[in-house]
Amino acid sequence: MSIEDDLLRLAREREARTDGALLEMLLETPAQLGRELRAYLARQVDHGRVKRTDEKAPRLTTIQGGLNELVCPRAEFTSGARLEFSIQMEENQRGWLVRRFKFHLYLPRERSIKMVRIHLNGESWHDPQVVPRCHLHIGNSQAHVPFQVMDPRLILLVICEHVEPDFGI
Amino acid sequence: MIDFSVTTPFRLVRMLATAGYNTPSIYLLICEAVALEAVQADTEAELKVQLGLSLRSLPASGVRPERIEDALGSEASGTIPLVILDQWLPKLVASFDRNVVLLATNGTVLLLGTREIAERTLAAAPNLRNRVTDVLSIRPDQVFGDLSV
Repeated sequence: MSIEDDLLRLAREREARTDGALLEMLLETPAQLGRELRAYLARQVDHGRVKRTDEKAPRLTTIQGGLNELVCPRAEFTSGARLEFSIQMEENQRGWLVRRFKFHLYLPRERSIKMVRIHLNGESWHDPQVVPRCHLHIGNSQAHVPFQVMDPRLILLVICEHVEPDFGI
Repeated sequence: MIDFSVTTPFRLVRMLATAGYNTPSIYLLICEAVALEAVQADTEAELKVQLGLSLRSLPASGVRPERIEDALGSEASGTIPLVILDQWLPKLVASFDRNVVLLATNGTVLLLGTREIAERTLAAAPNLRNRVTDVLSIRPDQVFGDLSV
C-alpha cells in the first residue's frame, strides 16, 4: 500500500469514528437541548461573559426532510465577540441524533484572530483528507482542521469558556 | 383591572434560581385557560433543566382544605408544588388564607390559575394576598412551539 493510500485509509477511519460517535450521541429531544443551551447562555450572562439573556434563542423549527433545527442568530459577549449557531437534528428509532451544526464565533476587532468556525457537515466529503466531516476554520482560512465531534452543549462550553476568552489575544 | 408583570416559565425559574427556591415564597401565576397546560409543561421542563427539580402538579380540586399541609408538604426534596386553580373553590381558598404560614413552609409554592380565579382568590384571602411574594401574568415559551415535547 502506498503512503497516499495509507493516509486515505487513516482519514476514512477517522470519519468512521466520527460517524460512530454521532450514532452514540443520543439526545433527549430537540426542545430539551434548546432549553439546556438557553439555560447555559443565561448562566453565562450571570457570569458576566454574555451581555444579556435572549430567551427567544435558540429557536426551534422544523425544516425540510423532517429535520429539527435550533438556531441562535446572535449571542453577544461582553468582550465584543458574537456567536451564531445552528444545530440540525433528526429522529431515528433510538432517539434524536445530531445531523449537522455550525458554530460561528466572531471575535473582537483587536484580536489577531477574527473568526472561528466549527462545522459538522451533513455527510462525509468524498475526500476526507481535504474536508473532514467535523472541522474547524480559524480566521478566513479555508483549511478544514479536523475537530473532535462532541455534544453541542460541550461545544458551546468550549467556545464560551476557552475559545472566546483566549483566541487571538 | 390590575396589569401584572408578564413573565414566562424560563424567566420565572431564573428568578427562583436567584431568589433561592428553598426560601418560603408563594407565587400566584395568572394565565389564559387555554395556556394552562403549556405553562405547566414549560415550567416543569425549565425546573428540570435550570435547577434539576421536579414539578409536583396538584389540581386544586384534588386538595382537601383540611389537609393542605399534607398536600403541599415536601415529601421529597427536589420538588416544587404547583397548585392548579382549576375551579373556584372557596373552602380551599379560605383554608389557604387561614393556614398561609403553612403553605410555603418548605420553600416555594406556585399557584396557577386564570385571571378570574386569581382575582377572586386575592379578594377572598387577605392573609394570602399579604403573603404572596408576587403575582405574575405568565405565558408559555413560544421558542419551542409545538415541538416542546
